[in-house]
Amino acid sequence: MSLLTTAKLTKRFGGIVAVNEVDLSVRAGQICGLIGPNGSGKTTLVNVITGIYKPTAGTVLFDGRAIQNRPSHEICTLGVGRTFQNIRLLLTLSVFDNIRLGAHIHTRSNLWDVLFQTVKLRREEKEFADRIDELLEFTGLFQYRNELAKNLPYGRQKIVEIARALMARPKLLLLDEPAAGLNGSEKGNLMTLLRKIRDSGVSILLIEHEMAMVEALSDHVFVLNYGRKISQGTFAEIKNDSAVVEAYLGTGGSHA
Amino acid sequence: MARLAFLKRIGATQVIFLILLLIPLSGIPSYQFYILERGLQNVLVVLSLVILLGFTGQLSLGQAGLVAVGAYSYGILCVNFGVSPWIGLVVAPLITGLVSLALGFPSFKLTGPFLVVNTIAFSEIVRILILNNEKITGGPFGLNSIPTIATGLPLYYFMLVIAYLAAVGTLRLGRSHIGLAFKAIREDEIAAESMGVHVRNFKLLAFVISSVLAGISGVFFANMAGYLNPDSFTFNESSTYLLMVVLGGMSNVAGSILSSFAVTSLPEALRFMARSRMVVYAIILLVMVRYSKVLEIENFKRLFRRLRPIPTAPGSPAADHAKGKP
Repeated sequence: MSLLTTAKLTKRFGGIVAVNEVDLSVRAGQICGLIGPNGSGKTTLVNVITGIYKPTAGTVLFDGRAIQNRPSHEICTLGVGRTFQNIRLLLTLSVFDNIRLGAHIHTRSNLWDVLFQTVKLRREEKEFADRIDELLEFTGLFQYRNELAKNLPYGRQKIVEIARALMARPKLLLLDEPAAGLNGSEKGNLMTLLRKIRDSGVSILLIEHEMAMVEALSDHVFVLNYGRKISQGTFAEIKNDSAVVEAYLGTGGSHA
Repeated sequence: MARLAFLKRIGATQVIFLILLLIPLSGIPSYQFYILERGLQNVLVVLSLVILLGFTGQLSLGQAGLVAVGAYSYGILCVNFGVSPWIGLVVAPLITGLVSLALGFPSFKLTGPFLVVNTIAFSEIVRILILNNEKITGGPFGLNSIPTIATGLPLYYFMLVIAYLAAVGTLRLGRSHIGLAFKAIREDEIAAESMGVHVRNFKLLAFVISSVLAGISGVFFANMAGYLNPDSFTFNESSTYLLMVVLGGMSNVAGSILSSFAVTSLPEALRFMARSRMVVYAIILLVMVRYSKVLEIENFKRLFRRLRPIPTAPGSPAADHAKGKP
């Protein structure tokens, strides 16, 4: 069953067509790779799916619902989690609080509960704290629990973003270059983590330049170039697609 | 360590309020008592800015306008409509909250300097409306003989209780998931939005809570003076409130309370200097802003830690911490 489907999704910025009639489909339980040269529209596509940009044309179906004109916070509530290419953490807050923000859409207590510290609020906070500790263990961040986010090494900050997204219990996770800037062992840990996330039932759309990682993890790969989808299939299939080779390496000869 | 845990439970805010509870019992002269009352009244406005600016990161230079709405709502209700002061006490802050809702709804489509200009404009509009509707507000002659809920010590202690509740409420709000959503907006609106925070609604919520506190402060102002004049709610007041919260460390409740008393009493303490008073006041404020973190409680703690260094190996995380690294 398809969890996320985009149909003829288009985003124009003035005269530039950043995303041009892209059709993709991510099935439940899959890790899908989204690759393409720099500037091919991958991040724009994710921003359109998550409601940060409104699409110029086309539709986005998530879990059977059209979400293309909904605001970002509503799309999150429906079960789409994401991380950012340029980390967007709450830098002056602790790792614990950063992940706690992920629980925002699941909070039931209101201002009254907060001012009078009701039993309902305390129970909810206890429940969230337990879940955060679980996630800290799951992602291997427990030692940084009370550290300020800005004091963490870059690689760890990226993992905090993933943990924060997981806290919202998404059905689909959009990861925008999670491996960029990570060293070898961190990449290995990230791959193990992404498999664990997939196995826990969360589908992943993975934007990545690290081809070894895309190859090892992806059930299905989409390739963008100049905003258009130029190929799709398993990694082995797209690897030998002449259109993909051309996008990455140039046409060879004609300009030489 | 057990001793530190004990301190944490008491909290700096509780200590400050305990001191405020005891000061008038020593029988201070009436002028100093009046300054203390003014400080307490300012605490509420400063707490309102802690929530709006400190937590949510939204700058307002029109808090005096909201204080004016609270003060005049109370005054007009009690004088023109003969409402009981106790009902006025409850209704006036609610009116302020409603006014802020009407102001905030269109305003939070704006960001940065546009929002600030909007709050300044609001405050000026309020002042000019008060000045020109003489039949209702008394205009430039002011609103006279406003009935009060209490005077002297009883009023002081009543204000102290309300201010304490407001401070505890602000602390609880800051720790809660609502406070976390506010801080997420301050840190990164796109991240907040992507994590499901309805940014505009939460900005509005912060603004309304903040305005209700400013409204309560206005009611206290009317009670202390028994007389209202539009000159008490100018841009000058708004910027002083901003100064107080910045000195207090923006999102730091205890620090902001301290700084609100410090900034209120400073020009009075300098009165002996006669004509050069305001110059000295300005210089002291400049120095304070330069070292704006001085009033933060965390820095007091760090100072004590530095006075009694913890023996640790150099380069270890604890050693870095003792050196004052964040």
